[in-house]
Amino acid sequence: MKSKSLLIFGLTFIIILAISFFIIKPPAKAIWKTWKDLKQSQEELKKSEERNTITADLDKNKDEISRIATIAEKYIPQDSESGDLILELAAIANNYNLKVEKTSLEKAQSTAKESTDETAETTKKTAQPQPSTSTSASSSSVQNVDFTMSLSGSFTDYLNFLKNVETSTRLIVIKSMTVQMGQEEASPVTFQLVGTAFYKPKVTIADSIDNIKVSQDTINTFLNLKSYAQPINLPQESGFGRTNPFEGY
Amino acid sequence: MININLLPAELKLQKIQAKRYAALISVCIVVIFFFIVLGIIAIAGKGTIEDHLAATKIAVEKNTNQSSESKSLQEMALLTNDRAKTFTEINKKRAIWSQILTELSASAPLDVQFDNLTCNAEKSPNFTLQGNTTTEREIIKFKEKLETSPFFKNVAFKSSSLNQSQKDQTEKLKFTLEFDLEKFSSNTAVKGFK
Repeated sequence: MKSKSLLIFGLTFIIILAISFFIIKPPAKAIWKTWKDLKQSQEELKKSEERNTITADLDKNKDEISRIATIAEKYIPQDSESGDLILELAAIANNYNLKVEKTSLEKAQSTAKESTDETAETTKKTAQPQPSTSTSASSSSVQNVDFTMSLSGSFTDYLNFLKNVETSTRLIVIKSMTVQMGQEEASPVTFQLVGTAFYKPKVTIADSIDNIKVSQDTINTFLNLKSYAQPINLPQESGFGRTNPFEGY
Repeated sequence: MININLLPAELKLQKIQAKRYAALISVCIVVIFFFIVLGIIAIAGKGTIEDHLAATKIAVEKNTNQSSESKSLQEMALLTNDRAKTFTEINKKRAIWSQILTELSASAPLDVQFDNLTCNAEKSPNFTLQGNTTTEREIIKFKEKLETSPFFKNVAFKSSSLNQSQKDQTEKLKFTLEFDLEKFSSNTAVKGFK
């Protein structure tokens, strides 16, 4: 009698096992996988909806965003734009009655720490002076355009010049300067400054939701910058073509 | 009313046994049936959840497939924030010379004239100032004033020498001071970024 009961239990157990393995397990496994995919997709959906909301906000102010992006790109351009830098510095100096005596540009350099360290290491190893790492060192990092400038004029005008350089539409950092009193009582003060402008070939921040939100602070900051030089626009520039370029103009 | 079972004892036991087996088999069938139902529910649930996933994926795709104008706007926003971030990093180490020189001028006593000023944000001493004045007292006054300024530190008197001006035959005390920058600026030159 006992053996018959055990047989029934055993048979039932085997049937349940078979049902579980062949009928329940495959869909349950698929449900688990699909559930995880669904959660991930829902997360993506949430992010994409949030991104769309932000894009809709950007779209409402697209003219302003476009203007700010233009200023931002001029502030730290993708290329060295050294010509524009010279024009900007000269325009600010002229605006404050300072005479530009001399301007010179140095070779572009990378500010990336790694590349500087690398250069230092190479210099140590070879014990020979090496040229500074140029733009090829790290295409995504910030690059420098070093310049030196000699000016003459009054100290007050020079202070105004500095103020305007600091709020110019091109990011310029003055590293060192020398201010020399004029030889004669009436002669102007001379100023020699060494500075750096920057450019960045690539956008390095991640394409995340936080990074596509443009805060009012950022907008105000870029709007507060002031441009002085009129950029060269070749199709509109006139006065080209000389018969004898060695003749006085 | 009294029921009297007149069946023989062996047959009685067989009947009871048969009833027990029937009960056991019924329970087993119910359990098996429960598992079959569970399987059917799982198959149906799989279909439903797959439909839901497909719908969500379509919605994601629809949201992701933005117009080129939206993409361009996002790129502009990204560029703006990238430049703002780069500026913030550079600005931390940036000396705001207009404020520094204004502070230096404001610290100078009335009888002090600057002859030569060398400033270098990267090399200590950050400032070497050569000037002329009337007495040593003015030089020390200037030195102490610079020490109290939040912009300067390590102010050191280097030298002084009496010189006679060839032009008006007056005597001038030439001096040299060296000092460092305490901090780059009281606030950032460009308002907004912190």
